Amino acid sequence: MEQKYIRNFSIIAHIDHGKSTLADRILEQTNTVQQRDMVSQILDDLDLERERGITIKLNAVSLNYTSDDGNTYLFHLIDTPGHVDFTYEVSRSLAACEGAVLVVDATQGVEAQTLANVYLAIDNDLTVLPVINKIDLPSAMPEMARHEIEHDIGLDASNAPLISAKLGTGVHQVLEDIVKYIPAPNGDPEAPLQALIFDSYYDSYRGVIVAVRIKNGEIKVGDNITLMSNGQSYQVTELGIRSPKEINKNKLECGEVGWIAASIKSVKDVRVGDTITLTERPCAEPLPGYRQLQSMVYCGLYPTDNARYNDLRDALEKLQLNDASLKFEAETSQALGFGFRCGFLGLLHMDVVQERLEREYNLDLIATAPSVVYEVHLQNGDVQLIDNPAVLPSNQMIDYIAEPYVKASIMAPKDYIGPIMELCQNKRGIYQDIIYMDDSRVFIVYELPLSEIVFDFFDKLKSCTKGYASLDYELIGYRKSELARMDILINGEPVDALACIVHSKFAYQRGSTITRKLKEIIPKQQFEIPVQAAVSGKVIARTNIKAYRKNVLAKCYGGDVSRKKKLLEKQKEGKKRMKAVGSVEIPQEAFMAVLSMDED
Amino acid sequence: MADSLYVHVPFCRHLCYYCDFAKRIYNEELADQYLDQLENEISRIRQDHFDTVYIGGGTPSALTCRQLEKLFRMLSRFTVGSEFTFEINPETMTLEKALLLKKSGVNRVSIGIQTFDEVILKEIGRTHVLKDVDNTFRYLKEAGIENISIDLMYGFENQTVNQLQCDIEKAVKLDIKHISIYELEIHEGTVLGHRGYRNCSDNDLYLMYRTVRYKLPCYGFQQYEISNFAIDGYQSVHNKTYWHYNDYIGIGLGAAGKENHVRYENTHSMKEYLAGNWRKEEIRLGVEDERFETLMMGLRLLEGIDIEEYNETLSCNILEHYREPIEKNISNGRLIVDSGYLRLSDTGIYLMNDVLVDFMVWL
Repeated sequence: MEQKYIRNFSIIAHIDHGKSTLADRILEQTNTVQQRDMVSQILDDLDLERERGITIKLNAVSLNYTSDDGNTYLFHLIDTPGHVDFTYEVSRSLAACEGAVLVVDATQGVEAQTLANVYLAIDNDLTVLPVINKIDLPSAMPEMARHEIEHDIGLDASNAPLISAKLGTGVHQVLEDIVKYIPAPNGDPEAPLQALIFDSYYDSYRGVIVAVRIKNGEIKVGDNITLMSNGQSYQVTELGIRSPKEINKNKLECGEVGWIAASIKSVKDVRVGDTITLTERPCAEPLPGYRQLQSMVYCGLYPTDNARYNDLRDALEKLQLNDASLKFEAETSQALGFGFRCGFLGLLHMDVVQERLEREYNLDLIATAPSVVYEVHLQNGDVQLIDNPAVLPSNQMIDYIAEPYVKASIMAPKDYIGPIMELCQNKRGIYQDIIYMDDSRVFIVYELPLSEIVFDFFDKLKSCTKGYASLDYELIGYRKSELARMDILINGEPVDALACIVHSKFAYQRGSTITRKLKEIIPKQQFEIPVQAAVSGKVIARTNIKAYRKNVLAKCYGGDVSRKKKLLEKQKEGKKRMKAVGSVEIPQEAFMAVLSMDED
Repeated sequence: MADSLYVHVPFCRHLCYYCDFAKRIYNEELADQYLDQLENEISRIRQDHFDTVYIGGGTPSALTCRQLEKLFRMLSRFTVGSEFTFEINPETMTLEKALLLKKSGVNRVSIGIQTFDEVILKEIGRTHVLKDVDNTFRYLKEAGIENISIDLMYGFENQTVNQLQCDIEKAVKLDIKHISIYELEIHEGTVLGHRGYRNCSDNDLYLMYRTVRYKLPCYGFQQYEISNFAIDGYQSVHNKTYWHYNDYIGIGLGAAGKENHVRYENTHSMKEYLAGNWRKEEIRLGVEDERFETLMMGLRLLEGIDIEEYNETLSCNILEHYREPIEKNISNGRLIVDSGYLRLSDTGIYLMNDVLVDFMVWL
């Protein structure tokens, strides 16, 4: 296909603004998928994604569109994940496109997430076509949305199509606009191969399948290729496009988007953003923008039943086949036994992995409180990266600790400025800017420690703005902080899995909340149990769990045997779910108590 | 051969708010149909002698004299070796019924009093007043029934330890031989459960039980089971069948029994029962089930489990078979092996469930 008939684009939108629905309609109206084969929202492969209404895995579909100008065009629709955890992946899939369709919900208007992704698109020199969706809803305010697109983002929206992706209204105009306004690719077909990797997934028969955009040159079956970030070479065994089923081809030409199989064993070797070139005729430079992914959030995952440690390892290995951003290594906790320290891109990523482990692999897990990665500067000049509070070196050895900070952008109706600023201040935020976007909405920028965001910031933000605020954040680097490890002692023994790193200003408050929570959660046992929070060996908060003194069935006659035995079985099960720490039995919820800090 | 027979009469004049037994509001016609069906069930029993018979409820005394006569006629094919007990609620008792019980061979009655506090009685849906209790005792005395047991409860929402002491003092003044005293259990599906009624505090429940255990013996009522106290020579023979986990037959709505290594329970649906579909479920007991259940019942008795008898009946050496939990609980002071018996210690009694769970986990 000549490049002038190719259009590569993404759809970007805030969660729930109708991205997947529009993609479905486009597939239908270009006859790529027959209506009867449509499963709603075809681009979302995973059940979990469909349930949560978010897209995690990237995906690309090729489709043919015969335009009103009489020509047939090859469209590549590249899907992007829609959450703040995956900003880097979004930027790489945008880099595979020349344009983006920006979907704005006519009932909601522009939100922080939309802004973040539009800026990513603009950074990647994409042509952005705004469309206004959900005009079929009675609450739609298309003119308001148009105004916001022009005012907040600075895009001309005067010709933005008014559409209803649900009903298919206006979708034809979107397709025509793509032909008219999104530039065709203009790579050099004769140059050495430069193919951008924007996704990969594991196939148990063919190894890793790599999703690529051919920027320059072309690639054929049998070519020897090299991944530029690590120099590894492979031979292409198969390649093709998806529509959305895989279709094998002999070659992918300049400007096209497709997939490559080359007997690559592990997704870890294939890094999003990397450049593929030909081994025999390499390009001079890799494509710009490649970055190695970093885990932002860590937590310990332990099987409830220690006997299932190997099952958990197998499950993590399987998940990792398709998710190179998931990291894990074995760790042991005195309290929880054998498990894994796992690294994630962010909180959502962590939730999704946990949920998949529990659902798809049928594992019962205990997750410890998430932690960020701290830079611990030692007296002797060494710097250690610590992602687990329990292994923080002793205070005497530490010169200072630095923690990751993010720039957080919050968009909300202006009525909530007060509560949002109060929340940010309470979370050690540093005020940066406040921009009045129009009469009703503001854009608030704070610098915040990532650990506070990881903790419960998003929930708090949602609740103090009745759900109206949206949040985006990006890492801006490490800063020195007054941090110390807080140990939690139960019956005098420190419980490693409950240790956390706190800011000295909040240590007392956090300590008393945690001890109070634990008092509620840990059932009374046969002896009194002191629960203490300590920083540097100094106890800063304490409660006691009183002993229970009676646990006996009042009544048990001939008719009660069955029922009473079941009752004992229940007590036995309860006991099994507890983790013995010294002589104290601690229920699993206790390990999550450090997470939810509602001051109720 | 089963040692004991339990007969369930599921009718009450009023329903108490805490009760989760099989029961219905009394209705003469329904009660007649029920007795007919009970007769069918009785006719299936293939033995003519029981050591003990117990008619419980519900409220057996809610039946009319005519119906009671019919019930006793149905049971008259059995000879009763030692103890024939009948349950009474004070507000349904008359002299005529008392005389009928005596005539029919009943030699022990159990009266549901629960508490002497009229405010609490009302709170838990009991309709008798203290005058009814006095009358009941008068009728029984006149009829010549002397082996009288009463049921009491403690642990009501606003009850104090002092109030419980008053109840105990009133109880022991009655002309009785036996007291069963239970902590109030609040079950789902009862009025109390629905209303969100609570027990008093955990600590008070403990103090109340301790009070019961120390007070009653002062008046000659020795504790012989977790919740049962008796004057010498008046321990309940029938209930000991359960605690020794010997075989017993249960008939009537919702009744349970155990015969020849099968534990069974009758349906709780009156419709099913009247249609003749009595049995709800039967569980064949494996040898480990029986070993554990015998332990779970036997440790309730203060004298404990006769080790030799246990070993013989269940063909194992209990001290070997349950070595780990027994050693653990001896070392932490909850179990005692003494003179051929395995029993709970004085502190073990308060924590019997923990001991049993240790036995369960062990298997």
